[in-house]
Amino acid sequence: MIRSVCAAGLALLLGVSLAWADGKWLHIRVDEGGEDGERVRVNLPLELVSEILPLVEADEFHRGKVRFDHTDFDEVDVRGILAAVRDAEDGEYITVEGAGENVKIRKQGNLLSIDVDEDDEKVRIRVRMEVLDALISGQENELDIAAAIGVLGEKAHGDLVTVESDRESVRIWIDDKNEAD
Amino acid sequence: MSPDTKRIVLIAGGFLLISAVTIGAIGATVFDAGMLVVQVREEGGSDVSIKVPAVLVHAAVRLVPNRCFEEARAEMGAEYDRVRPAVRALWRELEDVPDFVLVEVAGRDEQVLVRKQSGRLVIDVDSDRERVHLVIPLRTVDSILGRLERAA
Repeated sequence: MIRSVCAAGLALLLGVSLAWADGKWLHIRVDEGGEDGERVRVNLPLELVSEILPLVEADEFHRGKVRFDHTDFDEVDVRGILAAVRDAEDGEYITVEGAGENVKIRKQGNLLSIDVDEDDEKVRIRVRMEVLDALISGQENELDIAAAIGVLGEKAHGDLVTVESDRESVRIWIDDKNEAD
Repeated sequence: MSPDTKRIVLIAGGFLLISAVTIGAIGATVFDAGMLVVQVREEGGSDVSIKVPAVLVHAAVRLVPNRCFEEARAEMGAEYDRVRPAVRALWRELEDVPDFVLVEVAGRDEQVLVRKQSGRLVIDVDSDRERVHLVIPLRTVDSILGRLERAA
């Protein structure tokens, strides 16, 4: 009897551990430049974020979704733009080459890449198309942030955003580890 | 050994066994619930150190009159009602997450570390001016939030 109870307990413990081993973690790392620069590390279990987001109620944030009814984005069809990007063929869509700043937005397979190169700063953003799909999966005039986070947890792995400059270095990424590198 | 002595030995043995089990159970309960720790050490100022078994906090939460929680709820206002489900879920979900460092800030003047460790939220702030060490058992927060919820 005791053996059976111990075995069941161990199996339960192992099951919980394995379930969490599959869980993804969102990491944020900010390193300010200079000797006195601040170092910030944030680690968030995506499953926790997915559970909490639908319960957060704020002005335009409701059940994990952001509504655009009364915001400055009213004039911009955000969902339309995201849908157009999702349905477009692979290629480089926007290239801006200016004095001190280059911007490139391109789609390669399942990945949307945004590269911004300034004189003293480089920004790289990588978003999987499934995340955009999830983002626009709700009703009109709303973005489903909770669904996008859910897809991030299922599909995403690696860097989402990196910013490199003389002043600071920022990295936002997803992996299976519960601690930052 | 005479029958009387045998009876006394048996009664004494039984009493010791029951005492040991009771003390063990109390110890296990206190250990399981953890300790609420608040330590604040100010530079050139006061030192505060409070260590309370969480079971006592749980008991105190039950004994505090409902009116106190109603007043607390009223002071928090409607804003708290909006975030209440999320806050409650956050603390509950945290219990299921393996130990991890939530936030780490390392600056020249200040270090902050917020981590979940063995069913507790541990917060350490270390600066030139003060040193703060908080250990908050997650279940303690949940019981306080639960009581606040019932006071609605």
